[in-house]
Formats: sequence, C-alpha cells, structure tokens
Amino acid sequence: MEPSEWLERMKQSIHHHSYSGTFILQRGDRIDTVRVVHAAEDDGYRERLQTLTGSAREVIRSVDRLRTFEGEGAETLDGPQQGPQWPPAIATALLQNSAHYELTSPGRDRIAGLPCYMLHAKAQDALRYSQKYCVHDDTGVPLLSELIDGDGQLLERLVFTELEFLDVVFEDALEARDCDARHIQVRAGAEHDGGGEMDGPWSFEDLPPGFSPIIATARRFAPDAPASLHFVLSDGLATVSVYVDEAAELSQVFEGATRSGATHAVARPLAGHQVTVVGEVPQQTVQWIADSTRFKPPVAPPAPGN
Amino acid sequence: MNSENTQVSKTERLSALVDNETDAFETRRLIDELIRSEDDRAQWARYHLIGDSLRGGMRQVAPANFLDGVRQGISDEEPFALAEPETARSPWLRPVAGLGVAATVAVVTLLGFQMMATQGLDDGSPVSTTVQVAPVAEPSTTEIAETPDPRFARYLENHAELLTPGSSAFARVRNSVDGD
Repeated sequence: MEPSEWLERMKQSIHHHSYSGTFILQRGDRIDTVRVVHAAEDDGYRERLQTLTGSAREVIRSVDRLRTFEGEGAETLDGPQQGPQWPPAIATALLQNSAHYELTSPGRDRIAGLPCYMLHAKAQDALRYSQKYCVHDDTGVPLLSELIDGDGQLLERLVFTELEFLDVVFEDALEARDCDARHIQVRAGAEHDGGGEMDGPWSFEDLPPGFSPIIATARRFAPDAPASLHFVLSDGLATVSVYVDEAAELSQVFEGATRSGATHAVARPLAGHQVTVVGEVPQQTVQWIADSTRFKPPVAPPAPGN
Repeated sequence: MNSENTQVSKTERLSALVDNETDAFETRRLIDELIRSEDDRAQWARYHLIGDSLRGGMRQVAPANFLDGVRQGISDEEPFALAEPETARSPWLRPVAGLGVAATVAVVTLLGFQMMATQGLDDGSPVSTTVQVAPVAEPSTTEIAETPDPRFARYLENHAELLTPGSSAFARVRNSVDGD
C-alpha cells in the first residue's frame, strides 16, 4: 500500500475498533500516562480515560452520531454537545495531489509489541505542522502520533505502551471508578443544520493556502444562549474551527490569543459578532483565518411599490 | 525491500542501545548515526520514553533540554583549583571531582524540573506553561497569552470534540488530561 492509502486506512479505523491500553501523552516538558478503554459501537463509541500519573482524573466520553444521550453527570445543560462528523471523502480529496504535505514512509516499526507502518506527513510550509504516525498493520489504529513544528521540534506525542484489541467490552469497564469523573456526551450534528450555511452572510476570503471550509453547523453552548455558527476548515490533515457568536453588547466581545499545547486560538470582534478561531496549527494560521472571515449583511428586500 | 530491512535492523539496533545491549563498537557507531540523523534521534527518544513508562519512572523523565542545563552548569563551574596539598584529600576523590560537580548540576536541574511538576500538580494546572514556542515565523499582531485564557475554554473544549482524524486524537485526550 502507498502512504496515502495507509493514511486513509488510519482515518477510517480510528473509532471502529474496541481496545484497552495505556498510552503516554507528551507535550513539551509535560508527560502524562493515561489508561484508556475504548468501545466501538454501531453509531459511535464510548471510552473511559484515566490518568495514571499526577493528579487523578477520569473522563467518561460517549459519542453518538445519531441518538441523543440522557444521563446523570452530563456536563452540558442543553443536552449533549454536538460535534460535526468528519466526512472522510472530503479529507481524501483535500490531500490528493496536495502540495502542502509530503507523504512518505521511513519503513516499519514495532510499538507496544505490535507491528506498525511509519507514516510521515511533512508540512511544506510554516502554516501547518508535520505529523508522524505508526499505523497498526492489522487494524489501522495509530499506535504513535506526533505533531512537529517547522523547526523539527516535537510539540506533542501520543504513544501506546500497551494495547489489547477486544471483541467485547464489558459495561463495567466503561463505568467511572471515581465519583468526580467528568462525563462528556457528544452527539454529531447534521451538517448544515440550521444557520451554518456557507452561502449565508458569513464567508472566507483569501484563506491560507490549502485550507477550505468543509462543515458548517449551528450549535448552542447553553440553553438560553443564541446559537453560535461553527465552521470547520481543513487542509486534509489539520482542522480549524471558526465560531461566530452574535454579541448583544460590546462588553461581550473580546480580542486576544491563547494556546494549549499545539492548539492555538485567536478571537476578534467583527460586525457585532465575536469570531473565535481554534486549531492545531501555528498561531499565524489561526490569525490568518480570523482575518479572512467576512460578514456580508443580508440584502433587504425591496420596499413595496419600488 | 532492502531499505525496509535496513530500517528494521536500525530500529532493533537503537532499541538495543537503549537497553544497554550493544558492545562498545556498536555503541560508538550508533551514537555517530544519532548525531547525523534527526529521525534516529527521535526514534531513540521514543524508545527511552516507552522504557521509562514501563519501568514506572515517568515523572523522572528529564525535559528535552535537560542536557542544555547540564552544559550550562559545567560552563559556569569555577576552574579546578590545584593549590590544595594532595595529602589533605583522599586520592579517590580527585579523579571524579569534575564529574562530581557535573553530576550535582544534573541533579539540581532534575530536581528543579520535578519541583515545577509538583507545583503544577498541586493546583491542577499544567506542569509547565513554558513550553517552547515554535519559532515558525509567526508574525502575529496579537500577543499570545502566557497562561490559558478562560474565555477561550468552551471553544477549545468544543473543538476538541470534533470527530475528525489526525490531531483530534491529541485534542480529545489533551482536554481530558488537562482538566478544567
């Protein structure tokens, strides 16, 4: 198989296998060890993540593409969060003949005792990060994932040290051990589900090379909050979210930038709205996308009699 | 075919180096290759990381720039004084004096790292907020906040839940590990 076929296989397989294992997450100087139980289901997946080092933290995550979850301890007030479902065909199309990543394979390796295929997507400019994977031969699950900046410095690394694929995941393996466990429920929203149409008043002009809008949705962060528009842009590997919130008062908008690991975010006011851009890309890329966001007020219908 | 076999052989040799299973000649040869190859160095670092994890020593892993601190400590070291009469000191101490200072620098550097980690864990905040920012020519007009800005929290969280491939694997786990 060619590197591009391995990449496609990895994308297809990420949430389609059940497993339990331990992995290391390394970001800069920080290293965490995490225990995971991941149960693939027909319409999504459930997983339990538990830190084994440092402060004890536990997260129970349910992701369902179709059904609405109900349950105690859910974080969101307005039912589950909505996350758009990635259409794999779009990712493939964006990466085909891409001048923005060079896909190569340095060969094979063995991680957590399992044979895997090394895959390197080397960024061809400073607008995105390079990515390295080692994809399990049998399942396509990435046993190693790395984000690398333009100077070759490692930004983040996720590597399994132990992994067992499961035919059946027993219910108690997915139950919280800690009463303080966070419960996160995600339901994939339908694309273009009200207000997020790309032909609405919001658009993007002169985006960073390689990036295109692929998903537009509307979502609420709180029951009584107005809907936010959520656009997802991608270059085939990196994803960037653009959130647009209507601001009732000037005090509600803010301007600034922040980062968390390799994720950068920037916020700016625009036409009485708050535009917030978040993605695992360099700061200049989120800034560029924020600056590319345009608002065109709807044209008022002609007055009667004109 | 040949390159694949060579690669398998290289990974096995690097793994052996990490496990102290190479002889002196092979060790020298692999170190020469590590100096020349960035990929080999990354591989070597991964094997160390995995080994440390399996041995339960994750919190003792030195940061990536650990050796820089050691080098700095050595360069700051006072010149070795020879004025002291030999009879006043144990002959066993002399040959290792320089190394001893270097080792002390190393321990202090490592303890310093661990103290940072402890401070970070006490309040549940990230261990270090001084992650090296990639100098990838980011001519932004907006200054990046040194500490995470809580006003971005809900957006970072929501973005992390995207059902996307690639780096989303980091995002969903990162949010879980970081807590609030």
